[in-house]
Amino acid sequence: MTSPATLEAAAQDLAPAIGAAARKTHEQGIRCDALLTLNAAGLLRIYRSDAPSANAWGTHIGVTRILARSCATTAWIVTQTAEANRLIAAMGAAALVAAKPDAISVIADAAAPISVRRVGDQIILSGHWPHIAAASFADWLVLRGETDQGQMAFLVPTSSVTLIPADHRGGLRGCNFHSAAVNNLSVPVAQTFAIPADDAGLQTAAPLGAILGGAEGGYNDYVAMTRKRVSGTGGGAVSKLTQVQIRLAEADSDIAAARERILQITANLQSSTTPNATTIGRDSAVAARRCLQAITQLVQQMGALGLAEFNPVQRHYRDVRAMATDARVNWDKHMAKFGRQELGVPEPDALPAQAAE
Amino acid sequence: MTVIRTLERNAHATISEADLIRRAEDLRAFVAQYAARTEQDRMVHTDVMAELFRAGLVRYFQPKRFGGFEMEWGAQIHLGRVLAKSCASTAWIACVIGSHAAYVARMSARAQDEVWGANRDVLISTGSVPRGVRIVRTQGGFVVNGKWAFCSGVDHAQWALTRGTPEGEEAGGQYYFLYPREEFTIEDDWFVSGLSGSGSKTVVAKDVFVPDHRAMRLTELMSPNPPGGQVNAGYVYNYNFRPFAGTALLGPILGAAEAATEEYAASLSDAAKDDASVQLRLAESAAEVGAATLIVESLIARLRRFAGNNLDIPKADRIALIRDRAFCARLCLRSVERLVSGLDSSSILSEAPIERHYRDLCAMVQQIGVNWDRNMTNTSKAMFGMKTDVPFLNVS
Repeated sequence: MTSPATLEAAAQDLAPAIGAAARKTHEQGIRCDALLTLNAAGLLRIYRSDAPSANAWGTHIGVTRILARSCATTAWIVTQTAEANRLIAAMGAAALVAAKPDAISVIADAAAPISVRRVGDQIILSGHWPHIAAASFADWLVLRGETDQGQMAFLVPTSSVTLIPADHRGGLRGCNFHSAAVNNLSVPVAQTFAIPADDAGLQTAAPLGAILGGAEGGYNDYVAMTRKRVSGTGGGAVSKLTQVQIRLAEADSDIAAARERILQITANLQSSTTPNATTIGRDSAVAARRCLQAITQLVQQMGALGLAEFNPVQRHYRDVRAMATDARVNWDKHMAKFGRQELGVPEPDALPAQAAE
Repeated sequence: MTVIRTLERNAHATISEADLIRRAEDLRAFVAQYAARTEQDRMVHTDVMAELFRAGLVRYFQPKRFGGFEMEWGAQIHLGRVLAKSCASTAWIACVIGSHAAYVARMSARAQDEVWGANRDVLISTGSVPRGVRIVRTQGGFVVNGKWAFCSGVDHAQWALTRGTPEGEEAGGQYYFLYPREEFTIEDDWFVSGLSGSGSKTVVAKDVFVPDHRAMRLTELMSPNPPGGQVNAGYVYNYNFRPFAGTALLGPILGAAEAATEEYAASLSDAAKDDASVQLRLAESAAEVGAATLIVESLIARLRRFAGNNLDIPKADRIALIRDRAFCARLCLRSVERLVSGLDSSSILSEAPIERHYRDLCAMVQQIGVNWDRNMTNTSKAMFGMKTDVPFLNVS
């Protein structure tokens, strides 16, 4: 088994090349050879129980944090493959055989409830999954969604779904996002998984490594640039402005606080048999927001330079914004839930009306 | 003068500010259709520009004798606010860049004839950020060399008005230089995350001869009673221009914030509308936009009162004008930041319209006229009696 330290070292080794290609990745999309390189290094096989990179949960947090400092797109894809692998491992041997160790699998989360019905040893699945990262490169998709039987995951070959490319001008542009429309797709029961309620904490925390790394990368680039920047009005060194110094310290404080919180969340999830998903949700949302606040403050401090597409701080900002607003770390949802827990208010009914078949 | 030009001039001759705003409202849907394309192309679409000209939406400060409307300051802010609800970049061109007509109308009569004599549909792009500029006085004028970044709307501009200090002039002795499109080239370096459609590319001038009648000291152009004031009667052409500079930005800024708030509200599901956190968020942002609106209208009213009555502006009011425009921009930015922070990444990844409004707003508030740090530190310095970077504030 490859240790987390080995995987993190592999990520560190790849980071310079990933960073050098980051702008192109962002503008033109991640390249197939980049994914193959990641896969060869074991970074797309984290949590596969049959692969050398099988590991306890939390391994991908450290890896994606390192990668995101150079390129959030790369880190996000690793995040989504790790999540898929985790669920494939939970499905069992048949799923692991179907989705071979060197195959690329990515997670996809439905935005609305999905429709399932059992026919013999098959599940008939319908639904819509938006914003699937690296979809056209993936061999397998793990389609996750809420059903009338709770949250479930389904392993399907990418070739069995219709992929629709998506285009946008915000962050994570290099992720090759597609949406998938599925209508009455037959999935072997052995390639499905009824996700237990206590999985919630792991799902919530999954994006945190990439979010933190994106903020750290943006901070590092900001400091490097600002040490040399000259003001456009007056020509003085920007680094000598008090307000710049103060805001830098504030941003660093936010990132440091997020870092501590994320490390605590990871340790909690690794060590506890019954982690409190509600508290983890609250803390994950707070950590994500702190990262976003930090990078937002820094990019706004850069004035017109902060707008330039070539500016790596701008890229990190766009990417962190896209990641920190992922539904898994949604502020309102987690804060309200925590409040209800503290006040002894029962959770509202779980499932809205099921999507029509 | 041809019949067509006579009709054209008369068609615009009696337009009021309310008429101008109505024309802008009529164009909103058309502008909205092109908004994504404008952003992608990094310039306002040619069809949109044609409609702006056709509707006379950049003639508000153009002198009447050239088919313009000689409106009061603030007319363009109202115009920009309306257009920005569809496309902030288009609004920026119509409102902020269109305002540059006032600069030319303050220059010599001969310069004005050259700009508007043969063509009434004119956009003037200004460049205030020089790079590697060398300006040399010669017989009858100046030879201008250099680059100017952030020249919004330059792809559609018939003239450039760029700033620089000629060799031999004292430090701070800046001039404006006006030259036609055929005498400069454009460097396409505008690759940005917001207000992409403003096409704020770099103007490149190489050995451009600018005659004296198209060159003017910045201090002369900004001061009361510039040369243009002798042929154009309105206060926009005669009053101290410094209090006006930087306020036009507020039109597109406010319009984008209003549009974002409306988009947010319109996107809510019934369940979301019933959610207290959503209600609180929307109400707070709407309140901020409301406050920003009041500030903008107050600022316009103050400027009109001082300028229309030819009153000198006391120091305390000068401080308030500078402070208020930066504060207004911040309110607008914060209002939309709050809203987008309540949306999940599907808003970003599916290109919800609110995202473009937010991108554009983030870009617009960086402009020096509303830049928080610069304006707020300077207003405090002015309150303490210290020298500031804003000449308008350096009075006793």
